[in-house]
Amino acid sequence: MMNLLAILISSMLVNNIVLMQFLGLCSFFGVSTKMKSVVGMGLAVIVVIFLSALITFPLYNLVLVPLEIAYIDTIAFILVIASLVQLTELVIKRFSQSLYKALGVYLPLIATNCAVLGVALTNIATPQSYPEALMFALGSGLGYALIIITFTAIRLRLDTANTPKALKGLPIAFVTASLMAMAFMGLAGII
Amino acid sequence: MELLILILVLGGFITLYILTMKLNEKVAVPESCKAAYLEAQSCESCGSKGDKETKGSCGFSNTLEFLKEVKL
Repeated sequence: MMNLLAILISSMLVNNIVLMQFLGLCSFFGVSTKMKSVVGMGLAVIVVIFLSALITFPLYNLVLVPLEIAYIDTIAFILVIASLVQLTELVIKRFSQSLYKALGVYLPLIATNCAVLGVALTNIATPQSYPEALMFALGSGLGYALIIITFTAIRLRLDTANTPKALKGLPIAFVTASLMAMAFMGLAGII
Repeated sequence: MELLILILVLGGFITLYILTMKLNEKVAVPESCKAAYLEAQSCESCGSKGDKETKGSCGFSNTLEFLKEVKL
């Protein structure tokens, strides 16, 4: 139990998928302009990363490895994740309009998010059990949501600040992200 | 034999993707969500896009147009 908790905290804070592994940066910089969008995007990423880990881990160990075609893992995962996103969007669209409005509208943007593929590939590259892989995926999703929400809050404040003209927009966003990454490096010793 | 398995498995994944994509296309976006959907997918929602002064670079054709206007 403590092991699972350690994996959750480690993947969420210590080995954060955005700031430490530099995955999902496109949506990280692209969407972080409105708080409403970011919350929806964060929730959608948590759901998709968790669901993809739920499927890709057994798919690799029970199908690709026994058939000796494990080398197609990347292309197989891309197709599975893209299908999963389509299926999730379809189900949410069909059965819950409020949920669709909150997070479903961001699902097409997640289909190409490398953070989702990165977590699926990391899960099979590290020797771990199924619950551990799921906990890693959940922690990574939560870490992504935490970072993107924090980053958006800082970015919104910077919009009203007296920033030099040359740094306005993306340049100051990159500086902010690098400072956040350095701050998160301070958490390296907690696990 | 291995090649056949590979083709079958990959074919299966590709079929699965096409099937889910077609099914998803058939279900229309609910009327009440259309505005939110269009807002999320629009160019203006992207923070990587340039500001009003630089006109941004949303999409390949827009980027080309933007580059034509840049004078060094």
